[in-house]
Amino acid sequence: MASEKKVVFLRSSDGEAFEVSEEVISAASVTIKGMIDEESPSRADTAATTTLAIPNVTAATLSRVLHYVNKHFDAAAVVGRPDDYIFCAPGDEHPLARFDDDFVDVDNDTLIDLVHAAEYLHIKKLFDLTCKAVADKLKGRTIDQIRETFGIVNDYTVEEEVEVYRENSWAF
Amino acid sequence: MPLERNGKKLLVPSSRDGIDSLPDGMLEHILGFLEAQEAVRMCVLAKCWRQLWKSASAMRIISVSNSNMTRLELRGVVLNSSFCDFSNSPSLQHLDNANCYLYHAKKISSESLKGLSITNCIFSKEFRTLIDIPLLIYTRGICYSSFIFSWDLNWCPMFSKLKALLLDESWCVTPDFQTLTCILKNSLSMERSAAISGHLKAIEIKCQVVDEAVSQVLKFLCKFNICM
Repeated sequence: MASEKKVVFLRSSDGEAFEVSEEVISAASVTIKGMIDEESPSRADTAATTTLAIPNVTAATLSRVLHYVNKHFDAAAVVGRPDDYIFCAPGDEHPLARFDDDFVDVDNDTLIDLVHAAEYLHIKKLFDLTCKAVADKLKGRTIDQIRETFGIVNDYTVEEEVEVYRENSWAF
Repeated sequence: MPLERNGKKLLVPSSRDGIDSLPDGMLEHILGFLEAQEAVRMCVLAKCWRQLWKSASAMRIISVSNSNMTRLELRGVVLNSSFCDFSNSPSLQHLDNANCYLYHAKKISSESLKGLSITNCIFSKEFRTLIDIPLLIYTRGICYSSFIFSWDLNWCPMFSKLKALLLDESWCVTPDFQTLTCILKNSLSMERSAAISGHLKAIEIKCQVVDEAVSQVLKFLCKFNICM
């Protein structure tokens, strides 16, 4: 019991439960660490495992998030440094650059779900990673292409649109 | 990894609508990863995007290399050294910095700048920020640290064409005559070294009341035959 690593279960919005090491998820997610800290007095004496409801995140997204979190935790353990340190390394050569690139190489809806989840779970590095990935999808595209890619409806009148262009003409 | 399934499928909230489901704060964070001009361009996507860039978590201005820009106002911006080299903006004439962080800026240089305003900006305490603006005609705002002046104004005669100098109240609280002397010295045209008022035409002192500190300044300036 005591010698085994503690685990917690996270229940997604659609009812699926995922097992994760308490140490790993506490290091990664400020939100879940807060939940665990709140729970701990009541479960100190019991062997019962804790299940935490994550009502804002679906199973598909939560599974991805945990994959990310575990991968980063393991990599940090290998180099013997906190995860933050790994991320701070500039350039593409850091050990998880490739993993991160592949991780966010997903369709738009999946990516947006990950942004929401990272924000809700308060996983700063994942939030930055996914936000940057969204930004990369905006980069180098025309306004029409972006509207089409993300299904953004242009609700300006013609006059308004002309005015907005004029107002910010230096940027075009 | 999934350990158990809860037989029935719960409906996932479906009110979201792609990128538009992200609250403004997140979109502003996203815009912070774009180069500034690109971030601004997003304002035409739809009404809710119009003002977002103004609150972006960062503005990544790689360089100011707009050949037509004549005036640049910066508020609350962290500026690095390469940004403060305005050699790629040959038309830039007025630079107004307020509440900016210049602690990475080793040098502010421009061949075209005529007006420079620096208000409540923070400079490095580790090194001197060099201001190399040969055509400077007017400057205003004695910033937080008279540090910059007492150290950097001695560096070289930078104000050979300076015509107007505005000293604000924060400077007048404790008049820094050493600095002022330095500016005036550096305001000499290189050819005319005799008269301190060679190119310097006027000094404007704005204050609510003419108190002891202000009269000290006036007396000091009178010695140089400068009209006020």
